[in-house]
Amino acid sequence: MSLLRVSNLSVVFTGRGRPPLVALDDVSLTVAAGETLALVGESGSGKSTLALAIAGLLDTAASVRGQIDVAGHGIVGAAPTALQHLRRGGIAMVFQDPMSALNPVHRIGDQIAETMPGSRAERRAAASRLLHVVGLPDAERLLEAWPHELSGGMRQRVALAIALGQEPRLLIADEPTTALDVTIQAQILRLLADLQRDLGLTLLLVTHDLGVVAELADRVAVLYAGRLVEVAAVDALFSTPQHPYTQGLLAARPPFGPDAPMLPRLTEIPGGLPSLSPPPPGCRFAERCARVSQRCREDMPELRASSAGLVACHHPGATP
Amino acid sequence: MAGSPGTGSRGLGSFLAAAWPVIRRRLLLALPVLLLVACGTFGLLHLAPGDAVDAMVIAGGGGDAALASELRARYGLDQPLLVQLSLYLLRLLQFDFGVSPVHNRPVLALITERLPISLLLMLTATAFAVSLGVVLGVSAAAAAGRWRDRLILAAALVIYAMPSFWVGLMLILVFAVTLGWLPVGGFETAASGLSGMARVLDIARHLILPTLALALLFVSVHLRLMRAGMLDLAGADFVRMARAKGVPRRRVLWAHLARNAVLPVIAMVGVQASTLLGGAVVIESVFSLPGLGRLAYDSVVARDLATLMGLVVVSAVIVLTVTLVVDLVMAALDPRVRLR
Ligand SMILES: Nc1ncnc2c1ncn2[C@@H]1O[C@H](COP(=O)(O)OP(=O)(O)O)[C@@H](O)[C@H]1O
Ligand SMILES: [Mg+2]
Repeated sequence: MSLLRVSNLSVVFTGRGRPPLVALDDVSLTVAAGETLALVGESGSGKSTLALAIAGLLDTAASVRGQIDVAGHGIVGAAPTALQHLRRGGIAMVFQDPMSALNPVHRIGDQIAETMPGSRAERRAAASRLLHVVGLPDAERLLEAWPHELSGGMRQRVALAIALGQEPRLLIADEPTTALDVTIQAQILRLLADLQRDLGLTLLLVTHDLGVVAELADRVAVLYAGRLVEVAAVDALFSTPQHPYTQGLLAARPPFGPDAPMLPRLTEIPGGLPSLSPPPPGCRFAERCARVSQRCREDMPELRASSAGLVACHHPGATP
Repeated sequence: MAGSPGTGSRGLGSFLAAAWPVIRRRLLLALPVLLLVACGTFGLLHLAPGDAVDAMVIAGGGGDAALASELRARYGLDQPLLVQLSLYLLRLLQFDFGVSPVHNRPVLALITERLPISLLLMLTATAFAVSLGVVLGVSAAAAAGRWRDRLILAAALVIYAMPSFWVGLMLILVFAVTLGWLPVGGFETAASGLSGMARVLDIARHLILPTLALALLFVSVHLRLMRAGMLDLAGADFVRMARAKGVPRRRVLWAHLARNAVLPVIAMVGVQASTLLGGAVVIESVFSLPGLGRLAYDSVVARDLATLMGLVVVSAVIVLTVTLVVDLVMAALDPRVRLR
């Protein structure tokens, strides 16, 4: 049973004096309960926009079409009170920069307990318990601390505690380790994996780190310039990537693992994202693709079943 | 370690206890500043030709040189400047501001009589300006780009362009003269025999228009700072986080957004302390409030240097105090601020 179902989602940012920007175009995906889906793609491809749309947190400058279903509740166009219900026992979110994700003028304890039910003492006890769950001992002191007194890693743990306090079924983590030191990154990922397993969370993990993907994800969705280009189980994606962009990403990946030599990247995909206002008519990767044909420039490829999963490409398959 | 009163403990008592060493140090640091101010004023005022005796003698219509020199000797005005200055500073250190030759009373008494009126006006005007600025700023930001926002911004611009004495006169014209709702001026109804609550209410009625006139000088600055702060922070992750965890919209707006956006507004109150004092002087004249402003004006006209110097020193004390209080408030409101 899928906990999250996104159907034909499009998000366009409109602003005064600026042309509309198509951040997401016709995105569809499902995430099963208890599954970890990694959402990857380079910066600007629309990962955060998708995460925020699912969490019902996009601001009014975004016009959203399509459907998002979380545990049977529609998100798109839902009334604020309806969304409010999903904040408890539904969706929770952790953000990229732990430095700015906590309110600088509220104490840690108050931020964790703010929307919890129960008496003051109950909420305090719950907050203290959550700090232990996310691996922060000395909760009594931390409850009274201010965000600026904590390190980045500690703040990200606090952010996780806040999210867990909502007792979510779906946890969305938008690049939760990108802003952290490498050693701290590993700890936070370990924690995420443990929590996911122990609490049976469904995890939507946004990242551009393929090492993270390999470690944590069950399935992977690759986003490029607002469109999904490939969705596959993690093993299939790493062993037999179908889309040229995915192949490029994998090739550009720095070697990882314990004995990996610290070498500079060998291959980079030349070029950058196309303009999104408006996007090009055909395949959005066409300008950077080695396999491009005339058809790619005119006819946008749809997501179709491939040998390993879903791929949106006129010329899918193994690297020639 | 002095300087982190926010940490670990709650409550005003513990805050002040932690802040006390800083307060003490700041007070000590204020002393040389005040001495410098006193010297500067002394020099400036003595550069201008004429003294109180000249003014008195002229006002008396005659040129009695004997009387003039006797008066000068009595008030020490015949001594060399440096001697006058050192004597003045020495007395200042003992809170002795000298005697006003015009009023024939101690300057300190003249000032302390009028000080509460000026302080009260500054306090009410600041409180009103900050509250109105915050409410309008939040209201404008919440409707950014829509008509309510534009209306508030346009009003702010108009208010900003109006000189405060003119605003004061217009307020008097409309609410006191034409409508007759509020008194034209003064601090309280003379010889009314009111006491207790009735007197407080009477004073409050007298203060409404001056407060409004003085506050309008600052409202537009505060509201634009507030609005800009709100818009700046609207996209911040901690605001998203608050929404994500289910904080109701209103509480996000006030407890998360406004609570952070108000910090620069409070800081601005400190920066504008001297503007506030200057504004109060003008407004006091417009509304014939017997505060420091009136005293200053009268002293200039009468060349009452003793009183003027006392006023300048007291003004410096007021500005330094406001700055210190604002710093304390900032430290209480923002845990990242370390008092120094
Ligand atoms: N609030 C917004 N207003 C206008 N454009 C936006 C907004 N948020 C994101 N965008 C644009 O949408 C595109 C996707 O952004 P984003 O979702 O942040 O990508 P990613 O998280 O993959 O880096 C980018 O081109 C970005 O500039
Ligand atoms: Mg992002």
